[in-house]
Amino acid sequence: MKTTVFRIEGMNCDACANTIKNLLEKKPGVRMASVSFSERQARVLYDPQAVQEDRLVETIQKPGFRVVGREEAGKTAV
Amino acid sequence: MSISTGAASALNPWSEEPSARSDRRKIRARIGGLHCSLCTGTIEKALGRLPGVDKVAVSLTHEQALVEYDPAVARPEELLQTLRDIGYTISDPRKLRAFEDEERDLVREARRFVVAVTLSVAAIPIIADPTVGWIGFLPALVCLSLGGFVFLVLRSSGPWTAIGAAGGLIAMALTLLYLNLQGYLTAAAPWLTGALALALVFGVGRHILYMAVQALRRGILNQHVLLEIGAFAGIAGGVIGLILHRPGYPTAAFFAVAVMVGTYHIFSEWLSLIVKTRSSQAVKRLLDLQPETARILRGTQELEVPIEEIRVGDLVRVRPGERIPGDGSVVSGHSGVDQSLVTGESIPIEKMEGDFVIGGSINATGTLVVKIAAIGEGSFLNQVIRHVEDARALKPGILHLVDRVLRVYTPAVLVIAALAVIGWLIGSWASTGTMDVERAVFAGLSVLVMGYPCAVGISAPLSIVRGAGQAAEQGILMRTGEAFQGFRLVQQIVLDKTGTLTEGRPVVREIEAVDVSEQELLAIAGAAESSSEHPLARPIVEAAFERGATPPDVESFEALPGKGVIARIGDREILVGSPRFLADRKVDLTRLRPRLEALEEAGRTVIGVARDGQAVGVVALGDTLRPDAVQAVAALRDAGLKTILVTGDNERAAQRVGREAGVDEVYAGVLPQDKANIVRELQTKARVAMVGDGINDAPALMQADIGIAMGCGTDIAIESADIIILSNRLDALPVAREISRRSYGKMVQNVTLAFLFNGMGIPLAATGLIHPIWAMVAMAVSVTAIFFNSLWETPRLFFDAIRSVGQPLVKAPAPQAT
Repeated sequence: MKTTVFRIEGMNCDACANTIKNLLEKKPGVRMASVSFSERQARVLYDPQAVQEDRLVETIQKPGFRVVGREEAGKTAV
Repeated sequence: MSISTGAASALNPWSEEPSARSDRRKIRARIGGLHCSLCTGTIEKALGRLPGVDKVAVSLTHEQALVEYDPAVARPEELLQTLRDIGYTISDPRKLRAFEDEERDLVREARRFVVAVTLSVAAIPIIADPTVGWIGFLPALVCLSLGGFVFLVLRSSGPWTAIGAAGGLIAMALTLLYLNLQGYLTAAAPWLTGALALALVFGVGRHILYMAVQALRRGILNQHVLLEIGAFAGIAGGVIGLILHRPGYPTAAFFAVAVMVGTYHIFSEWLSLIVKTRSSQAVKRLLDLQPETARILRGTQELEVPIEEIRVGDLVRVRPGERIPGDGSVVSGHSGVDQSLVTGESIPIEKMEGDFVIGGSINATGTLVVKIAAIGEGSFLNQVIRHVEDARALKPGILHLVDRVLRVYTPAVLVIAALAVIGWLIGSWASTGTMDVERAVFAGLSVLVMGYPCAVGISAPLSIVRGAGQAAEQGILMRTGEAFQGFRLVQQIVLDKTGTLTEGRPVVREIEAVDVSEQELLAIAGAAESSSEHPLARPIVEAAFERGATPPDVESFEALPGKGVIARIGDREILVGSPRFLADRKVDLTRLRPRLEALEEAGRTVIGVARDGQAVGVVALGDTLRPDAVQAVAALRDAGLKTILVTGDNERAAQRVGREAGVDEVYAGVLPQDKANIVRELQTKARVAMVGDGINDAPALMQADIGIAMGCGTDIAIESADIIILSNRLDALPVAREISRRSYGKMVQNVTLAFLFNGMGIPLAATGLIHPIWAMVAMAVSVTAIFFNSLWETPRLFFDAIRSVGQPLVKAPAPQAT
């Protein structure tokens, strides 16, 4: 599993953040998502075999938000 | 899911119920013709008198009666015939009222109202008398307000119809007024108003006359009887006027009063119907009306069929997220099954081959093939429905405020009328030596005409319109009259645990890590569990994600259903499962043992994690209280309510939750079917409210004086409740009680206003010196006062209420079309 943080521009309020969260969680392969308006970012846990990162970017951008950066969070060691 | 008890067993208009005693039988019947809360007492008395009858319970709201009797002495046909003899109708309780029926009733009642208003608006200008001064103009105000209501009623059938009808009424009124003022009507007025009065009482208001006669036969003096007394007194006064033909005798006014009281009565009936229909439609909107289907396996084929077509022995495939259609046993596959809404267990239970599953529970993670053992009659859900229906009739009734007042008021009016007659006879005889019969009769009739407080019929519905509107703004649906009149009387409130006080789903509560960080522990456990579709994987992954951990990739895994998972992550072997499973695999748990036992004792589900044979920690899962639970319980206690928790949990775990939430009393280890019995037991002490959401809560919700369901609850719980909390917030409970208290206060004010003006008029009328037009004045003033009192500042609530009825049923609240 993989966690990626997307930096997002174009959110106006918590409702926008909620919209993005719901859109992401509907995508197959996405296990969990948390979107913060105040930090202007989305943190997504997903299965990279089931869904590609670019698909997630498209999902966020479809309603008109912009992804301006992304970075992978480190995997937790075993 | 709808409440209907399978196939009809016979053609009998009642249904047999299992009785607690073997030498007794129980029947349930639906009763038509209940007009007021006094009827329930009458039925209980009438049937209770019969030999062989042990117990009778009647519910006004649900129009049902439950009778327990000795089959050796009494026969059901005779029992029900007794009810028919006193004027009730009996129908099969298994049939539900359809939306179309409600609509038809509404249209019929609205039509009656429009006709009645037309008669009234015709009568008023005919008797208008400019010589009596400003009082003569009050009826004009009444005319105007009635015209306004006709406009409102007809608006749904198109703006032009409404404008046309209202315009027609005004034109008619003005024409008649002109003719009257020109003196053309002087001779015809008594005959015209007389015809109008007869048309109203015996034509449009025939059904009220019928109901009044029924009530009289049952020995009940209710609103209908009081109305007919007033109306007949008016007609009698008019007829006497026509016979005696005295100058100055108010013949036409007497007739006109009869028309007016009838119109107001029909208006209040229509208003009550609006209130009733609106709440029943609001509930229907909440229910899941989608027909349920299931996939059954026939040979190699998979067919999607409606749930009613499933037979015992069918194999059904249930995918993740679907509802299990019936009780049965798992034939293949394994999965976590969420039974929280059925039995109240908050932690999903792993089910595998051979395990029993209950219909209505949700299949969470894997696909199951279930062999159906019971569906319809005999299934768990149907047993619950049976309990709900029993509770429906056993629910304690409440004597409505208006009926309580009328029980004293109506006889009082009759006595005063009689005293007025006697007083005049004796008085005139004493002073002049001859009895003034004419004056005595006039006084008696005036009292009867003045006695009907026609605003009384609108006093309760209007306060409900206001209260329901205020409740709706807070996300609360107050469904029945009981909700308003009864909630304030409740002294004990029973709270279901799972899903009501708690979230109803497991979350990670405690983490005990050894040699690793909490994050790592959760990540490892989450990775292993989610590869095996374990029911507790999601809460663990959720907790890991919240702490910023990413579960690592799993190379291979083996799931041992009911025990745990063996997974390979990197080059390490990970074991995740019950502590017992770890111990079996020779993992040393000594260091974790004390903590582990404490957690298990607290009712937690504990999962152990080991890496390369070494224990690295345990994760404890459990249900949590809702964030507003403590505050809501405290608010309820402050309001003077005794709070009681019921749960199927063991004593110790239940006590712990009870302490956390701050409730007064805890009932632990309660079987689903026993909740209603606990409520019944508590009801012997004081009135009880019950709050719940699950299928297993439904009988208790119905049994309680006030049943309160969460809006996210099951259909059957919502159908059984009096109040539905749409916002799913517990802090709505004290709010709902406050609204109930305030609405009842309004109702008391309204009823007082309704009786006040007529009450003042009665002694005056008894003097035999006042004109019947004053009865109309009292009516107009009290109706106006009640409208102002109920809807001042919030007239919108009233218009919304009228407009919202009869909108097509849609699941989501439709945008208001205007």
